[in-house]
Amino acid sequence: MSNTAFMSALGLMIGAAAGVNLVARALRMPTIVAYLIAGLLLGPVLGLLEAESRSGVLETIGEMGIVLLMFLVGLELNLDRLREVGKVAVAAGIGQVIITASAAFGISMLLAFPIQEAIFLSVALTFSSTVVVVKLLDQKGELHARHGQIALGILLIQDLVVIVVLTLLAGLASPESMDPWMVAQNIGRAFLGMGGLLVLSMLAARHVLPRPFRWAARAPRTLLVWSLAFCFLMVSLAHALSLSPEAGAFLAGVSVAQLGASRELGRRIHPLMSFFVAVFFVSLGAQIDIQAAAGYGPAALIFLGFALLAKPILIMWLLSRLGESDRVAFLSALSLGQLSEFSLIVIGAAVSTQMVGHHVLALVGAVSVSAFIISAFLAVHSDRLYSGFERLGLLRQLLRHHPDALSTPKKPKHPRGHIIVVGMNDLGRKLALELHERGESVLAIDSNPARLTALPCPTMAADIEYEASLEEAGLAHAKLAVSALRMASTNALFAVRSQSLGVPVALHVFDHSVAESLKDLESCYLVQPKLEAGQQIMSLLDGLGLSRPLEPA
Amino acid sequence: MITLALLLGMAAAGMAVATALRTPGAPFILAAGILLALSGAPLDASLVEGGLALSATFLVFVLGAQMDPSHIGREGRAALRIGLVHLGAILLVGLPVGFALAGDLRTSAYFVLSLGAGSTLLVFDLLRRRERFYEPIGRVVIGVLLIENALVLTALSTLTALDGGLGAAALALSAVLLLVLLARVVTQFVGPFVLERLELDDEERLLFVLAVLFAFSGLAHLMSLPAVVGAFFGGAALARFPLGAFVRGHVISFEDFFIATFYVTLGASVPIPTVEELAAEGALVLAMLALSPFLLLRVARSEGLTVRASLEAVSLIVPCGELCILIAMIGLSAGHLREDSFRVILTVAAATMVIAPALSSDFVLDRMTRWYPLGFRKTPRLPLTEHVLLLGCGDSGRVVLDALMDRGQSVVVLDDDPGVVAGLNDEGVAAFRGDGGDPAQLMRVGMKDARAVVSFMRRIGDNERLLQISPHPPVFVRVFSDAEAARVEGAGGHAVVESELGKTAFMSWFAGFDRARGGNRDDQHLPMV
Repeated sequence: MSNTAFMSALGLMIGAAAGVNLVARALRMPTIVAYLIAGLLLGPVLGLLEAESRSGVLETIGEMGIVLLMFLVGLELNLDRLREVGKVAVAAGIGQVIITASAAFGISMLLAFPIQEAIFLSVALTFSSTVVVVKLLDQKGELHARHGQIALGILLIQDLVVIVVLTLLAGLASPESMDPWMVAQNIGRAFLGMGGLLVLSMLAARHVLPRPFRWAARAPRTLLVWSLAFCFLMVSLAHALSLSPEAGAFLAGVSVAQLGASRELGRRIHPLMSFFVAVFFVSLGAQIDIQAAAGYGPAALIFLGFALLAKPILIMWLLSRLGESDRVAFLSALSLGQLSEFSLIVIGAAVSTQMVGHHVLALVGAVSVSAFIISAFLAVHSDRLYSGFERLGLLRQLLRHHPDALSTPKKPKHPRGHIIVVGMNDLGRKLALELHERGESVLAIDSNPARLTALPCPTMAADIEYEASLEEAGLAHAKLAVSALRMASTNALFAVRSQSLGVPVALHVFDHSVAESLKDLESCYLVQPKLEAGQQIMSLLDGLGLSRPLEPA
Repeated sequence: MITLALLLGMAAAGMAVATALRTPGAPFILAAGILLALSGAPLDASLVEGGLALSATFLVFVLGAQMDPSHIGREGRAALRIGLVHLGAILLVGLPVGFALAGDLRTSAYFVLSLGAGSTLLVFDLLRRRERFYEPIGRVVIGVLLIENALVLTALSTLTALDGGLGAAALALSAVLLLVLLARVVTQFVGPFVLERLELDDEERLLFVLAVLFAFSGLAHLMSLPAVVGAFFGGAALARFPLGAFVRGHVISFEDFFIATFYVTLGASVPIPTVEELAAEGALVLAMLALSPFLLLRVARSEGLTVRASLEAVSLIVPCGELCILIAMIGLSAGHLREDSFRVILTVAAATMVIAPALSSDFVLDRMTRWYPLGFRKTPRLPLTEHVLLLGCGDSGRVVLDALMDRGQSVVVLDDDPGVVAGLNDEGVAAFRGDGGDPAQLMRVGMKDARAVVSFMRRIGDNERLLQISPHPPVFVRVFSDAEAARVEGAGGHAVVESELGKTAFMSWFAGFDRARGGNRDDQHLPMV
């Protein structure tokens, strides 16, 4: 595909995604749904995005989106919390995989699919989409909530099972490799690879990366490129070990997270991930073969019902038995009610080796995308759904009514009534220390973590040009915002954002021309040490009688 | 994915070198890309090519998104004059040089356009690092780059359309005007409505930014203009403050990532020029670049910039960068530029990007300022005794100078910037050009006979040398940190710590603020300055 065609296809995808999203916004539709609908419109409906134009570089861009998404998940993963939910996730994950796969196999057989197709269909229906779940949790700010961590834990268990399944399916493609010893060897190798990658990433996080990354943190751009290079190195290693790229990216994220400054790095990567992942979802929507799936309408509806209802109910039941609160069990289960993108990959591979017919791919594709859309809606409105179900008493029979003590608030608590001081140069440090000593609650911010050391008040390594940084710093609830930076454009931006939230602001002015440019900003105190220095020297000269001509003797 | 890993790995290595040298990374990432290509590593050619096209589009968009015309303020006239003179000089010298190199007028036009496009992202980076962004020099340089980029891209659109005759060129010009008009509509109406009134979340805002990028570049493509022209005007549509504030976070991320991918893919996809090519063509091109600074210096000085600021402005305007390379790429892909010429332009751009940070550094500028030939200007004859000697006359110095003059105290100023000295002389102030760190020069301005010395010199070493002169009158030194204050006090001077004074003034304001606030934010009446 030529560059012009590739750029045109990309432009169409982004344009359609933005357009549909604007409409979707009015209908309170999740962005994923908007992307999938944009893809549906461009592909099957209008025929503007042919399969050929989605391949090559666009495909890589989509894959990059998933890699970056998983890298971000690793980066923001709370290891303590994951450990806390580990047992529950393992038990629920394994239980769910076994029961779901068995039930899906039974249903497929009942629907008169041949045994080989029933096996693949059961695999496709068992797993949930890491990408969709993480994207939705991220959008709702619930990645760190207990139900978010449990969902993530179950998805990690599913990923491990996927390794086994992939090995077995590869064996099905070549019957000579179905020798039990060979299967065991392949599975062992895959697990060994996973273990090796895990150990490697942990060793790197502990012994190799800290010093160079601390050095690189002096220049945020260098840190970003180094982190991405490390991420793609791990992805390549995962590929070499026949593991999924997602696993490599996730482990890379976990490693880099151990080095500090992961929040700031996450904020920098987020816009890139959002762009690339949008391409992935639009491309996914464009792949649906509506006509081929239409012939399997009843089966598609049954499978859709299975993914959206049976699977969440099963997970909910398991989690409740494992002691999780009603709300956590409900929210975790609801977020997992869809098929995985892995389902499409598996069926695609099976079609290419002629183990199943083309119709199975069309069927799974239609069910996957429909499940993505409906589950996204359900997940976005999960709290309201839970309240409704609880009020109607629909969960009474299913759940064991554990109190909601373990559940965490949806979003981390932001500080309130504090003073934000940005820029830990000499002036910034002095202001932060003095305000702290005065008993004020101070949050000191600088993009260079090294400048935040030895401060007695809470600190945050962040670049305030990112709105997310200011949100995390709780700017909306701050008593006062102060910038000691010597960067006038950043100060002006900081002032506008503070004022839009009704927060008073004080800015460092280091040049008279800067003072002029800031005078239009009302409710703003300007710290002008240069003028103060001039006046102080005059006071000293006055005090020593050196500022006036000598009287004639 | 392996291609991506290799490209990003090499970009990371290039960034490491740049970080160690405290200089912008572009040339080093380019060199890393070239090394990758030379190593024979297995790269997916279509991915490299596609990545280059995508990175180029994003980079030009980012470039446009930083071009806020309101930032230029009152320096617009100076920026326009300097920009036009620069382009004029490049045109006058470049056309014959390009013709001598390539033998045809169109190729020489590509030479002119490439070398007339400044290194915007590099310059922005340097201005931010050196905290000059909002100083007059920063505004002038940004203004010059905005004018040059817009003119060069307009000329490029016309040049690429010339194949279809003069009519097609006129149509291309109209198409550019349409893009400018649309950019204005987005800046005035669409942008404020979507970004300020719709209260979008971060992802929705990003989608809007991306949609603007692809809408403009797509429209440019439909009108047969290079897509990067659309990307530039799309970015410029979102640049104006406060609109730019809403998209800044996204733009930084794209800039960081696509600078790396652009230069590394570029390095990986172009062969390096031979020594012969460089010797012949490179020398001519560099000669062409070297001629314009002298002209620019005169214009900058005539616009009232100090000598130091003029030198700094010129050292930032002349180097080529990403846009230069992109124009050459467009010429190459249109078959208007030979590959060897492209390679030479690329090398010259990379070389000037390496030199620019050093050339505009304080170290080099200080020396160039000292050597700068300034016409003899007679200073008022004042008795050099019982005066207060002022070393440096910036913002703080001006406060002291004005107060002393009001009190009738005679003052002598020593400043290293001839422009500042000339301005003070015009006001009737006894000002001399010189280096306050040089004891011999201090003697010439009567330091020993002064009643007091007030120093605003930045470098602590200069102040320590001054305090070593014995005997010396009372010396007052403005310093930035407590550590510097200790050194000055230790050497027998009186230190005035700028940050301490800033803190004291702030805390006194804060006490009033806190009292007025009285715990209820809604009822607050804040004392503001």
